[in-house]
Amino acid sequence: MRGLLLVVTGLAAMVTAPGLAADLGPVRSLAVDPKGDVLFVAAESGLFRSTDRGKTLTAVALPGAQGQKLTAVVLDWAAGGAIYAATEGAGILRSRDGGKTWAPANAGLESLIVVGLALDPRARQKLHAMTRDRGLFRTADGGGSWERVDDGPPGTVHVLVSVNISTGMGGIFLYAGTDQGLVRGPD
Amino acid sequence: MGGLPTKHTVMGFTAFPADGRPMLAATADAVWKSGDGARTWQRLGNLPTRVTALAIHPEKRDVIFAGTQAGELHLSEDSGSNWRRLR
Repeated sequence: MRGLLLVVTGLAAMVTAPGLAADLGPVRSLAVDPKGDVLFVAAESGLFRSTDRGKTLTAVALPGAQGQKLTAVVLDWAAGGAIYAATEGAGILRSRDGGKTWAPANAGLESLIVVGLALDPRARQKLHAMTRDRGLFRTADGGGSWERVDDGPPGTVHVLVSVNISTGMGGIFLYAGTDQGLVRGPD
Repeated sequence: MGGLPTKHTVMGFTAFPADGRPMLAATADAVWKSGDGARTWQRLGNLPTRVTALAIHPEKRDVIFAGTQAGELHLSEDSGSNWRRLR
């Protein structure tokens, strides 16, 4: 057992070492910061950032979320905007300095198993988070506090995105990629 | 949702933030694009299967990134017509 623990610890250190272009494992989410064309990659092995459009990746340390699978990364692309990372087990982490430091943003969130995270493209302090076992939550203050909305889309949610539809009635709609197809609901 | 196989699992999804055009959705065997708010969908070629994540550049609607189950990253700079593998 002692040997096994050593192997697991060594592997974790390898994957999270800054500057290492690690094997990503399955990619769960991508986000682009237009300032400097920074690409954030949320993979099952961790969070990475690239400033050369994905050719080289640098691991981003997420304190408090080591060993948790990442499910989503979203960002407010305004100058100085926040970055949010969702995990299966540590809830949501938020960075306000471009990914250098992170803090939990889980107040009011009734589950830390977050499977989808969406940022309102028109009001970027508004986000929705889909949890595996407690349904859909929303925040109006950039993750300062969350409130439950409802059970959320049916089926297993893999991705959640807020979309600004400019035609017809228009407005913000919440799209979910699920095991039952693409589902749309009101924001 | 014409064109998009609605009963299939959708693993990845993205939309241009300003107006939702285009939208892209990834199913197990294909990536789909809609230019009319998800009413009709066109199947894109030149991508590997098992795309699990998609992202549009928030200021350049033609620039799209795709990530796969195998840990690959791909980039299109012409709104999904052509793709090149980044890693």
